[in-house]
Amino acid sequence: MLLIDHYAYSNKLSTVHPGEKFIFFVATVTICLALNSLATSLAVILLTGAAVILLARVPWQVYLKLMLLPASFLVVGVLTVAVTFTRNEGEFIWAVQLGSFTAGVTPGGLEFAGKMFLRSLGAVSCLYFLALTTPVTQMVGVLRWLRIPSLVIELMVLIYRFIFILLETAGHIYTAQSSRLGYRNVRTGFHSFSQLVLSLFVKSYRQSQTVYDALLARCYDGRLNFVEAKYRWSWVNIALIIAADGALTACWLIAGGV
Amino acid sequence: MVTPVIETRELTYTYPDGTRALRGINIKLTAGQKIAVLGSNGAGKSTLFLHLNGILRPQGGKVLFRGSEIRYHQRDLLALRKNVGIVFQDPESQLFSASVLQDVTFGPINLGLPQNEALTAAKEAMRQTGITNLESRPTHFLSYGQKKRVSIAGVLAMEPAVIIFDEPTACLDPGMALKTMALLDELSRQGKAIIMSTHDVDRAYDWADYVYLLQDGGVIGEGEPQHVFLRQDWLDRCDLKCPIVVETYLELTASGLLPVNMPVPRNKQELFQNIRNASPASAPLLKTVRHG
Ligand SMILES: Nc1ncnc2c1ncn2[C@@H]1O[C@H](COP(=O)(O)OP(=O)(O)OP(=O)(O)O)[C@@H](O)[C@H]1O
Ligand SMILES: [Mg+2]
Repeated sequence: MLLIDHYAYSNKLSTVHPGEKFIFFVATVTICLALNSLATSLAVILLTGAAVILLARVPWQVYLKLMLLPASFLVVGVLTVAVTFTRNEGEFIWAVQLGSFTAGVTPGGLEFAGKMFLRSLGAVSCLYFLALTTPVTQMVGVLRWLRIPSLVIELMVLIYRFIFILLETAGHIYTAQSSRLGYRNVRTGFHSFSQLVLSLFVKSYRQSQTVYDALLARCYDGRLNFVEAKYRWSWVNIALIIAADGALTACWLIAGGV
Repeated sequence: MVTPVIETRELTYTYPDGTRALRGINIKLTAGQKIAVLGSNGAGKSTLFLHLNGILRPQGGKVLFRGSEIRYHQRDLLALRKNVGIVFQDPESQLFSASVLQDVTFGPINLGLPQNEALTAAKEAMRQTGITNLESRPTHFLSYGQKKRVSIAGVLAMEPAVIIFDEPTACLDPGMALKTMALLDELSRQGKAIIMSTHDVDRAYDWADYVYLLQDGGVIGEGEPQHVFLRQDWLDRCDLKCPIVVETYLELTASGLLPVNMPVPRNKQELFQNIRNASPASAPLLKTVRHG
């Protein structure tokens, strides 16, 4: 969470028009989900990976680690899809006999699972592209442009800020506790942790009150108004996006929808 | 007599948990004045400040803005908050936007300025506080001192007539603290009234032209710094030490090196000048030491 946020602000694409990044995200994720094919999903993963690592200059180790996280979840989820239970005979690549049942992997099941895995990972990689290159401040601009109700946007901004206050407060409390041996063994650990949760709640409540006071002090009238930085559309980038996503679709057509 | 910009009369306030934070406070502030509020931890400084901007509503007494009592309707409050800016003690409570620029422009936009004017005001405030280079940084990755400066800029950008600083130099490095104090001087030259709370007696002595000493929710002493800091009994009650300039002056007059009837020097430079003038024999000596 913090890591992603860090790169969102410091990456090399952070000054690019957020609309462009958003369009790339929407187009690519649509292609990935709509054209359910192994080749396209793979291409999407490679494309967004290249964009994040080569264009945005996020270190590849970081990106790999981030991708491994959803990948490990997906593997577990997809395994259950790949394995078929049946009473009937069938062509299995690999199977075990469990009483009158056969549990095993069929070529059809394997293909289905593979497709699903890559398709999901492709969609996730698109989301990572957006999250790693577009800071929340820019996302707010995009959401506003999409005419999302301002109440939702304001909630989002405040929640975003409070998440960091919460994390920071929890971090401070944890440091304070462990520097006084609060976590030296399981018993004190449990005790400290329960105190951490309690005081985190109380502190956050106080904090949210003072934040509200400070808002009032600066003439807050129930509406959070922000200026938005101006970005310029770059036709080169738009052309690139069209080319990349066009190429994805073309590949799919040529490969015959595999 | 000039009407004070802000005045409190017999202000009392008790927190919901029963802590009696203020017990009848009278203070006055006129345009261009520099006021320092001193007092030990928990004396009630921050609580008092929250009243001056209408965040807390007094349970007894009243707050007057430009001579008229604040009535705590929406309209009154908005007018008050437009004119009285407060820089909170903890910058964490003041910053809520995702980026520095957004946070600094928040106030001006609330004042109803169009975007480009709000931006100009914000840029100017950021220049004055020396945070122009932080413009697009997210607020949660800043250091404490940087957060403090951003919160100062957020208030400056609204160009209020009165600015309240709750411990503006706490946690700043010495260079930044000096710059902040210079900024306060500059603001007061522009005719703004400034109140600052601090625990640093030397800084308060140098800077302020009027001082309030707070203890246990009450004002136990007030006056010009040369007067207030000579009252050892007041200082003792507030657990404050004597400013180094005053201490040196007292020591020098007591030991006969300076004439007893000499007025208290306003700052370090004046003190040094007095020492040089008082001992004509050593003046050339001092000079040769300097040059040598
Ligand atoms: N929200 C609150 N609820 C209850 N009591 C409070 C609250 N805020 C402050 N107090 C109490 O009110 C008194 C005055 O607090 P205040 O914060 O005004 O002191 P201060 O002079 O600003 O101190 P410091 O120098 O430490 O900042 C203290 O006794 C404090 O414990
Ligand atoms: Mg305080």
